[in-house]
Amino acid sequence: MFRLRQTWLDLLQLLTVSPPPRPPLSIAALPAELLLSVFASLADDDAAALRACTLVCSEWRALAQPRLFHEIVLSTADMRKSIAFQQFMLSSPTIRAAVRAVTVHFPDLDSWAPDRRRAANLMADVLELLPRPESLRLYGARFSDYRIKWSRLSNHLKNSIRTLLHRPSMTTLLIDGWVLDVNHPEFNTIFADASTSLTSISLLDISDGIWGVHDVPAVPSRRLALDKLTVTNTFSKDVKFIEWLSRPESIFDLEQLTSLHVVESRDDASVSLLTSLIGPSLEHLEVNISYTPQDSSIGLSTCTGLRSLSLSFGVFYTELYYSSLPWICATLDTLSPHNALSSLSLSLYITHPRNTNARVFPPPPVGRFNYDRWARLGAVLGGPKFGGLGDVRVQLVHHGIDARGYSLMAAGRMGEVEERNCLMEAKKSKKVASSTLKRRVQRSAIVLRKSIYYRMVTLRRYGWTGPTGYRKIRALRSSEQSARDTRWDSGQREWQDGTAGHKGDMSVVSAPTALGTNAALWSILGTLSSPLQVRNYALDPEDDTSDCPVALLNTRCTARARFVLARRAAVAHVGLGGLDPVASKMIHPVPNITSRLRQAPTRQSNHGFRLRAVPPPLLAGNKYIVTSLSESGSREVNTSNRTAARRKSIHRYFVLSQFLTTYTLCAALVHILTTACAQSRTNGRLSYIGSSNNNRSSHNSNSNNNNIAGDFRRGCSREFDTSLFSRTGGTTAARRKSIRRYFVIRCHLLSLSESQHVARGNSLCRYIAISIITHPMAHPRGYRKHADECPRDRAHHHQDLV
Amino acid sequence: MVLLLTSDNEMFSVAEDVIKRSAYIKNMLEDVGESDLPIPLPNVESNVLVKILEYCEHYRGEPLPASDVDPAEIGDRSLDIADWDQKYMAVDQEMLFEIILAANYLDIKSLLDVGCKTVAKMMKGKSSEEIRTLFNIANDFTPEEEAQIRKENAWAECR
Repeated sequence: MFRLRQTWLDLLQLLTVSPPPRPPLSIAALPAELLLSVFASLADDDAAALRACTLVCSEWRALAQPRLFHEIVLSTADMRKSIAFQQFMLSSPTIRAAVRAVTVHFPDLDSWAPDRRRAANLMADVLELLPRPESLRLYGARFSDYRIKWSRLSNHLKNSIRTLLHRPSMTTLLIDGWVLDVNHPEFNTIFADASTSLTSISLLDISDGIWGVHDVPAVPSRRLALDKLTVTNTFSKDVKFIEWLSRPESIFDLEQLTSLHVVESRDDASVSLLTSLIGPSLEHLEVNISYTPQDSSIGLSTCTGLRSLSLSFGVFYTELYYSSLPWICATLDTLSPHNALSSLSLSLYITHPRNTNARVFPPPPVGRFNYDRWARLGAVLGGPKFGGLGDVRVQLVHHGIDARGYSLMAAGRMGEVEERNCLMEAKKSKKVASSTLKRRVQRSAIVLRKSIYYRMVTLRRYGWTGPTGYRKIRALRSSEQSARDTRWDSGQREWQDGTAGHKGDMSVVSAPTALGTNAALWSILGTLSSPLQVRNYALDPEDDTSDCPVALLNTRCTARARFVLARRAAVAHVGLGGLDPVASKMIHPVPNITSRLRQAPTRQSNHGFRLRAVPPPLLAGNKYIVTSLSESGSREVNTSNRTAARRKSIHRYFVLSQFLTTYTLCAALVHILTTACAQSRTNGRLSYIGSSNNNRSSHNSNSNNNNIAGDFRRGCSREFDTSLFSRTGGTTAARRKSIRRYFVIRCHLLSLSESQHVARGNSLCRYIAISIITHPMAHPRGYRKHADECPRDRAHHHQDLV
Repeated sequence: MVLLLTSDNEMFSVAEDVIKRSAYIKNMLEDVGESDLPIPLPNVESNVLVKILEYCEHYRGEPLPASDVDPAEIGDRSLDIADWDQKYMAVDQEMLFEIILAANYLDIKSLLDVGCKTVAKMMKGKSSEEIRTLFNIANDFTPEEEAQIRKENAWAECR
């Protein structure tokens, strides 16, 4: 009895003191929202594991499978798949309800077969099925001549897009590469029923709409108040579009915008228009400067609420040449004294990423850079106006320089800001994190390969020609002990002529442009008569073209020079997949160009191109011309290739097709100088550039040049085509793409050049497609003869530009 | 100091700046104000709370996450976990889930994020059968259902 009582008491004590034992905790104990969080973590890292999770058990399937379809991409590529996917979405309500982000990829209209139209309708069906999408991204072919146009879409697809925009969950819309070829009322109609939660809109490259002053609708009764806006500001139609967005008749209300991102901005006035309209509500501003006149800036005086400012500059603004720092200072100066700026981010190029072979072509020493601009920036940022600035981030994209040394010197000159909180990041251009910069770097790599090839061919040409001007320059260079360092000074430090008694006087003050201009200048120098001397010379330091003729003309070429040349040629072979055998055979009697280079040719008679002496008046005009070039001339000249041409945002673009000739380069320079003179309202000098032993040709050449300059000066001729045999292809394409200053120079045509296709495939401003395909008759006499046979030649005479 | 009473009736005295990493406690302290009464934590056992306090102690002084941040945006979505957090989470499954549940209850977002990532990392690279074995889950699918799910999942494969 006692024992029983004791056991009972023990049991009672056990029940009252300790809780009942719990089964071991398993993953089943986690609530659904935590499992969803686990699946979300897994989705971004290992989609296969997430798919495996759907097969674990039915409870997990219900949670994991919708997560698989969080983002869907619709395309019209495969009709059969489109039908099947539509059926799948129809039969899976939980999955279609889980779709948050929709991306639509359309091929260009060129490949718009009838079944694709049906596929597009199926896509429209799918879009209408989605009840809770949060973002819609519409992508089209940006670089096609047959871009997706809103007017060409079926009504079903248009309505489904509008329906999607109407969903209450919709917050983000991105249109990239579609052409909204609509007028103002139609544009408003597209967004008329959009959800009020749609506050983030990105409109990239849509600017082929009709943004004139006519058909302006009444002020809409309901406007979409945007929170974030991303627009491109590259072409003139973009500017008009931005003007339209800022009008009260626009469907978008920008007055409460907090975040603005301007992509590839070329027009500061447009950005200023937006910032002044938005005013104090703007908190974050990001501008990617593509090409901006140096004497302007963005007005931020009304943006008193601006907290973060991010400015990034393209490769055309290397600190070596066209520093963006004055522009930055001018923009910062416009900020109100009572600003709230706390974060500033700058991304600048120090050197051009084109030079990837820093060992052979060493960049300038960091001590040679001008750091006064950094000091000025430091003074601006260190002022009381920017007392709230807590984070200054400067990203320097460089190539080949001592970036650490540069950063330290720059940061040191910035003074207090550096001490406060200034993070200087020097990144090698190959490792730039930003995707935009990545694209640029990749493009630059392509340019580089071509430019090596280009240099090689140029070398060979000069090796043949052997103009005396080069030898003179070489003499000058060798007379200076610190020639290598001095030439980085880009004209700031004068060279003293080592040899006395020169009659001529040519001063190339500065040509801080890209490769093509240098080469063109070299061509011009090569045409100079022997008494002419170059006294003040500083070319693009990254352009090693300047070295090449010297090296080749040196009959006692050193072993190292030979090695460099051979290596360069080998690189060119590899980079381009070898020379075009047909062209090589036609142009070069010696098939193996490498061996030719190794020969270090002596002066030879001019087989191919007889460069005539420039008439004396050039001496008077040179200085002016070149000064114009440096002040307002071409800032963006790429001797690039067709692949790079298809990429955007290259202005004043050179496509050097086949083998470069002096004609090409001089013609390029003619264009540049023409533009420069047109801007400076002087024209007379240009006529002297063209020279020929044929007086009539020379005259025509002059008049042609004058016409070019005149057209540009008047600004009426937006499209210029001097194509010989292009029929209507070039001009039509240019008009269609609204290419300004379209310029096709084609000497001899053996086959249809790709330059027109390149032009069509781009929306390039100031596009110059130079395609010279020479053949054994490329001899000047043969050329003229051929030209005389063609009546169209007489009208253009573009071959006489040189 | 803040007094905490766990479900197994153990009392903990914790510095306020340590435990304020828990949004739940932080809000309670702000609502109730200074008090000598212990805060009961009926869903947290003492051994789990010790572990939680170890985490809070380690991150003492670090800035607290903003309260108005969308939970979906907290942390990066990759499965990268800091070294200390990895060592901290090197516990048996039961304790791991206890920590996750406690972090959820106490509203410690960073710890919850680390916990979820740890579980996700355990599943990474594994097949459905391996996941079932790992977490001791029974398969309740018929072969037909499995085939159907695989067919549906195929849409998510063609990217």
